[in-house]
Formats: sequence, C-alpha cells, structure tokens
Amino acid sequence: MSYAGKGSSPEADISNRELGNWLRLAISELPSRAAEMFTLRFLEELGNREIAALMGTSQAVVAVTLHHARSKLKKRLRELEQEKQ
Amino acid sequence: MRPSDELLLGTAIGAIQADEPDAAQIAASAKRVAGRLSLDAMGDSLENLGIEAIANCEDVQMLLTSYKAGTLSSAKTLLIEAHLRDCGSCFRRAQSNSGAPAFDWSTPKSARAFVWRPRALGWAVTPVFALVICLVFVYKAYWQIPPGVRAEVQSIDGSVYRISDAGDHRLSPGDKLGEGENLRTGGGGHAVLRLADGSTIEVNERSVLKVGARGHNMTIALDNGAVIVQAAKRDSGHLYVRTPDCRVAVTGTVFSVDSGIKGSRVAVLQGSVEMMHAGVDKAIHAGDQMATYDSVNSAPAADQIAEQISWSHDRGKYLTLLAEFSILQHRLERIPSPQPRYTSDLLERMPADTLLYISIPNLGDYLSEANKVFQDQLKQSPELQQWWSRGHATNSADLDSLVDKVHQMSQYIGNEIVVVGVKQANDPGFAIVANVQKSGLDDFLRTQWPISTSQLTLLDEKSLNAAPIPSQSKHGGYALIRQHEAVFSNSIATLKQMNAQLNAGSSGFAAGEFGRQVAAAYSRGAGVILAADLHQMMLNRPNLLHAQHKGQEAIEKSGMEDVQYLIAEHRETNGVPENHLNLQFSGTRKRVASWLAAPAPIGSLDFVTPNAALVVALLSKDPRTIADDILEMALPDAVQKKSLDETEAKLQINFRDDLAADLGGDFLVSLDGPVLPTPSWKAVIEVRDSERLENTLERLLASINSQGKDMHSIAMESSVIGGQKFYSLHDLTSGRVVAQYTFAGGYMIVAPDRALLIEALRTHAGGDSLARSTAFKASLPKDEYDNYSAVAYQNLGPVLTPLLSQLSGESAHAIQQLAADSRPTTICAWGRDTRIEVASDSHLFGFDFLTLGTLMHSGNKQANLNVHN
Repeated sequence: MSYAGKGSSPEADISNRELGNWLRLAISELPSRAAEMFTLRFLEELGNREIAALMGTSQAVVAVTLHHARSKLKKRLRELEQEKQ
Repeated sequence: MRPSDELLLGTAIGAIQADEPDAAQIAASAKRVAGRLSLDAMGDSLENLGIEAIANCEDVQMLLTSYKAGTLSSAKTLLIEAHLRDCGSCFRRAQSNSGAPAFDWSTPKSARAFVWRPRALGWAVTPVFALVICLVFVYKAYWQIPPGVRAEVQSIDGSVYRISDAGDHRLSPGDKLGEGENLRTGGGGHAVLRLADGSTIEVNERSVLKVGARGHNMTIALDNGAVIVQAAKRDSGHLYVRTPDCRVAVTGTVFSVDSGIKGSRVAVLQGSVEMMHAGVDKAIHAGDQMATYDSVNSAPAADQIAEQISWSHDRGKYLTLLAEFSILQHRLERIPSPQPRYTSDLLERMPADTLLYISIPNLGDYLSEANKVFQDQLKQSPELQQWWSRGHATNSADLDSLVDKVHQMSQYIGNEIVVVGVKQANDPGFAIVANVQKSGLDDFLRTQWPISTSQLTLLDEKSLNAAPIPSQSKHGGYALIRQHEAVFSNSIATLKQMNAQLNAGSSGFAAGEFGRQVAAAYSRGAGVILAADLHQMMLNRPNLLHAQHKGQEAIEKSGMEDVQYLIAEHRETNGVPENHLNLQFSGTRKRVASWLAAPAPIGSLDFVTPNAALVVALLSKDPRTIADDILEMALPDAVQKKSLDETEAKLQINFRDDLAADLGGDFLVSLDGPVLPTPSWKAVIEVRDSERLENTLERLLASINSQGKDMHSIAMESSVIGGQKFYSLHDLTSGRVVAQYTFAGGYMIVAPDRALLIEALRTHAGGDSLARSTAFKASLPKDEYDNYSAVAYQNLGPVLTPLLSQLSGESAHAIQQLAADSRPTTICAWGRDTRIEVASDSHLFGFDFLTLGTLMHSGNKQANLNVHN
C-alpha cells in the first residue's frame, strides 16, 4: 500500500480516506483526554501552550501525553495496515 | 518505531485534515446535534437554525458580537457555545474580545458537608486547652504590661524634661515616669532615677531614655547619652539596658552604658553583665569594658572606665569599688581550676563488663579557694562589705559554712568522681565511685553531712557482706565506705559487685577495647567524659532487640547493629565550651549509618543568607546507593518488590535510575527569611543532570495527573526571567502554588515563592552567604578540620524580628526581647570510615537561660515591684 499527499490521484484519495478512517478509529480507542489533546494539536493545529490553557494543565503534561498518544496511534495504524494485507 | 510508522501517521493526519464533509454529512451532523440539544422542542426547525450561516469559523466569529450581546436565539447560542468548546481559534477570538474567559475551565470543587463529630472534638479540646494555658502563661511572663509607674525622679541638677504625647514638661524630684515616657537631660543636666524594681539610674547630660516593663522584665531604652545603673537583686526577671546597637542583661550589679554617634560602650564596675551585639553574646566582668565599634584607645581598661564614669556624682565610690573588684577578679583568676585529668587509677579497677563510664572532676578545692579569696577580700574592704550586705540575703558565714562542708568532703576523695553502669542479671546497676584519700569519711558523713540516715545507709565491707539483697531498690541509697574507695549506689547487688571488683584489683577493663577508648579520652585531657558501650547495651537489652523479629531485622538491615561505642567529652578552656562526640562502629559504616559522607566543602550553604534562622546541610553518599539501601530495607520480600515495580510502571519512572541517579550528595534545608505570611523555607539539592531530572519530574507529574480523579492535579509551568528559567508547581484543585524551583550552579533550589529563589541566586552570585559570614565562622568548632560532613545552625533572632511588623506594639516589644535573647548555635559532624564525630563550641540552643529561668520562677513574688502599684 502506498500513500500520497492531498489530491495526488483518485486512487490515492481513496487510499488516504481509508487511512483517515483508520486514524479516526485509533483516536477513538485512546483515553478521552489524550484523544482530545491529539485532535487539538494535530487536527486543529493548536500549540501546546494553548492546549494546556484550554484543558487546564501544563505544557509538560501536554507534551508527554501527546508523545504517548502518537506512539500508540502509530502502532495501531501499523496493525490495521497489516490486518488489511 | 520504524520511520514508515511516522510517515503513516503523518499521512493519516493529512487525510483527515483534507477530508471536508459534504453537504449531506453536515446536514446529518446538524440533525444529530439538534436532536441531542432537543432543539425541536424549543420550536426551531433545522432550516431556521441557519445551518448554512454557521458553516465555518468565519460564520461563528461574525456572530460573536451578537452572541456576547445576548441577542442570538437560544439555538444559535447553543451552537456557538458548542463550537467554542471545540475550536481553539474561535475560543481565543471570543476570549480576546471580551477580555475575560468565556468559560470557567476550572475543576469544579466538590461541596464538603460538615459532619459533627463530638468524639473528635473531644480529642481536639485537650491540646487546645493546654495551648491556651501555655499562651496565658507566656503572655503573663513576657508580654503583660504591669500597671503603675516605671521610675521616680530622686534628684535633679540642671534641666531635665519629660517628653510624652502631651508635650514636654520640666521634671522635679518626686515626679514619676510612666510606661514609654521619655526623659531628656539638657546641657549640664543630671538626674538620678529609682526604678520600680529598686534599681537606680544616674543619667548624664544630653541623654534620652525611657523605661518599660513587660512581664517580669524591665528595659531601659537609652537612645543616646550615658547612664550608670545600680541594678537591684531580683527574684525573677531581668533588667535590660537597650541602646540602638546593643543590649545589656543584668541582675544585681553596677555598670555604665554610653550610647553615642559611633555606637555603644559598656563598662562594668561590679559583678558581670551579658552584652548582646550583632547576634553575639559576650560576658563582661567587673573592671572590663567593651564597645560595639572598633576603638584604638590603648589605655588600661581601668583608666578608660574611670574616664567613662568621670561625670558621675558618685564616681569616687564607684572607682573604689571598681578597684576592689578588680583586685578580687585578679585573685580569683589566679586560683587554679581543676586541671584536665590525663590518667585515672579508677579506670582499671572498674568491672570488666562496664557498659557506662562517666567521669567528672572533684571541684571541692576550687570552690574552697574561691571562697577563701572572697572572704579575705570581704574582710579587707568596707566597700565590698557594704555591697554584700546590701545585695545578698545570704549571710557570708552561711556561705562559708556550706562551702566548707563541700570542701571537707572533697578532701576525703580523689580528684575525680566516676559514675559506672555495670551489667547485671536483669537490669543494669549504677554506682558512683571515688578514691578515698584519708580515713574518717564515714564519720564525716554520719556527723557532719546534712543527710538523714533514712536517706543514706552507711555500710562497711563487713555489713555489706552480711546485708541481704532486697527485692526492691531502696529509696535514697547506700554508701559503702572502704579503706581506699567510697561507693554510692541504690542497689545492694551493685554495691556487692563493685566491692568484689575493688577487692580483686585490676579488672582488665582499661586494657579492653572499650576501656582503651576511655583511656584515649583521658589522654586528650578530661573535663567530663561520658562513654557508653552501645553494642553491649543493645545485646544486654533483649527486650529492645528481640521483642520482635522484624525489629531486630530492621536494626540489622539499617547497619546500626555495628555501632560500638559512644564517647562524649566536654571541657572548658577560658570559659569557652568544647564538646566532642564520637560514635564508633565495629567496621566500615554500612547502610543508614554510612549515609553521612566524608567531609568536603558544602556548596549548598552558598545559597543561604547570613540571616537564616535555621539551616541543616549535609553531604551524603551516592543517592543511588542510598536508594539501594532503602529498597533493601523497605522491601524484604518479593511481593513488596513487585508492588514497587508496578508503582514504577504506573508512574513511568525508575526511582533509582531516573531520580536518585540525577541527584548529587549535597542537601540543605533552611528557614531563611520571614515566617509570615508563608514560612520562607528553602531546599537546596545538588543535581548531576538538571535536564534529565527536569524530564523525570515532568514525566512523574504527567503520570501522577493521569492516575485518577481523586488525586490533586499538579500543573507545571515555566517562565524565563533575566535569562534564568523558573518552574512553578500549581495545585489545580486548590488553585495555589505548591512550590517553585530553579536550577543554578549544579543545584536545584526549591522555595515557596520566586522571590526566595531570586534571593538565593543573588546570595550565591554575590558571595554574601551564611558560609562566608564572620558570625557563622566564629561559631564553628575550633579544630584542625577545614570541612565538615554536616552542619546544623540556628539563630532565632532573624525569625522573630520580622514578626514585629505583623504584631501590635505590646507584642512586638516582647518578641523583640525574645529575639534578642537567642544566640547562634552551630553543631558540626564528620563522617569517617568507622566513626561519626560531632563537635560544637556553642552553648546548647543559644537561649538565654537566665530568661528561661524567669519563666521557671514566674511563681515568685514580685517583691521589688512595689512601685508598680
């Protein structure tokens, strides 16, 4: 399976949409607080400081939570990819 | 994790970002939202919601003004609020426009219901009641302002004024001064006052003073000028003279105080006073004088004092007395004090199983000689006789008789008295042993010594052998008078054991390992020696060690089972105490006993200001090794080890490798600054890798916060001020700052607020620290060592002084007095391979014991305070 950027080809768009769905699934499996932080950081593109202010915590906590969330998501995406193959 | 995983995640994120919902999805979402919000019930159809109008952030931001004005429909308001919760940029826009947070993000606080627990209240009442009683007691002794006048004018020359809130009034003989009223003498003016306690003050020209009383104490506050004080003998409390830069404490003596532009000068004509200046307390004896400033006057002290009191109308009388006291003092100084003892023939005759050995000198000769000199001088000097008859209730003959009896008894015994504790079947036995130099001690005790036979039973060897061992020890005790030794004890069994040993001669104790330690203490010059064989003591107290298997195991694992001997020595050289304690181990110190590292420079002291009230600093061995010791001691079985592993997994750190490994071995805690509103505590910890430690703390914090809702959420924030990064820990539940910290010079400094951290950094950078202050260095033990393993220092003054600003006038004076009474104390320790040594040249705790004595004698009648009423 290959992945491409936005709008590279119709096939790639379908593949990316599937990948996006996998990510949505993986995010839904995260703890709610980690999922919220990940969404704000990588989908809403807020900074760690803003997320910390929004969620009432420190930047350090945000950074550590995001680090763990990314690790889990990468692992889960790889599993979903292997399941499909 | 493979690089492709990162690409996979990046692509997935990009896919979601690029995935724009179509109209059908938006409509379906809107329906779901409306359904959840029950918008249908509110009378709005989906079409009326203006879904197209709130399609994106721009639409929301356009409606923000109406939203804030409250003119939107309830449905639109709910949609806007829902969007603001999800969208950071719109939330910021809404927030920036309003200048106030749109939502309250703080954690809701649970309401705490008050539960009435009468039993718990009952337990609380007792300590509160005791505290109240103590406070009343302290208040009456220290703070209560006695009623009545403070001083009465006896005679006046020239112009003397009373300065009060009502204005200035010229004083006449017989006038009285109240609490806090100032007296001022003009040029050429001179006054004599009689204080409420019977003391008299002679006041020189151009002087300003006032008299105040608190509890049992009186204070003459001399702003400037000169006074000569004849302090009356008091049953309780003190008379103080306070100048702007020193304080003089006194009972029953005559002294002069000058307060001028350069500072203060105190000269003592009779008796002695204690002068406190710059946190240091010094005793001044008759014929001596001391100034708070550097003086280049090279004239003899007597000439300087004569000049200092030359203005006094009674200078002739004072100078005569001064000469008498000067002679007396010099004669007393010539009396040899008990010489240090370098050997002891009692040592080798103590039982071989001696566990405790205390040696004190025989002071009989010294007391007798001092009494002889005093009586002789008293006979020769009418001025001294007048002074003695005026100030002392005790007849000189009574004093002579008492000292004579002490001296007579001391003549029967050798130059030292030894207290021994010996091993016995059940409890250890104790005895007092002294050599007998001449026969007749038993007759002397029977006929001369004022002890009834019901309190002390006199025995000889024959009657001792015939005496049965009673089941209970006798109140008052026994005295065994042998031909060459006298033994006192409260146990017949102990007396019999000592008697048998003394008959047998040398026991081999002095040649044994413990005895050699005591002999070594003698070789250094003995004043008072206390030696204990702790190892044997523990072995002989099975109840202590073997009551519980776990307790025994804990002692073994702590390394304290290797403790061998305690040797404490005290001697005084020229009035300066020298205290030394040596805790010896049977081998290299292990476990807890080994935590104190070898002496080295203690860098953490450089972060403490010279005004610190309390400091404890120590060097430990490698914290990783300490962590190993703790784990070994605290986790004896696999179950607990597993529990620790689980905790570490939860917290995502390893205590030993992630936390202890980042720490150095230099630790300090201090109270360094004001105690109100928050005590200014400060901790300084040596750090090996500050970045790693910072990362560990962040991980620890994140893990703790994610553990559960019941725990307090702690947030960490950092800020950079002047290039220095400061961290603060906030308790999100209570909303307060728990602590702040920063890293500097290889140390982590922790304090309750940033101002203390900045002060610590400034102290470290400027070099004006406690470790470099003259007062601190002066309080260190005089020895050959450059460094210590641990230092404990206290100086109560800087703690109490700032309280003055928080309290009302009456309390402030009393606390100022308490602060002035304290003296700095320093105790130092060295960690050696097989021993720990502790030394101090300070008086313990530094409190003015005379002042504490005031409290103890608070029940005494205030016989001399009759002018108050």
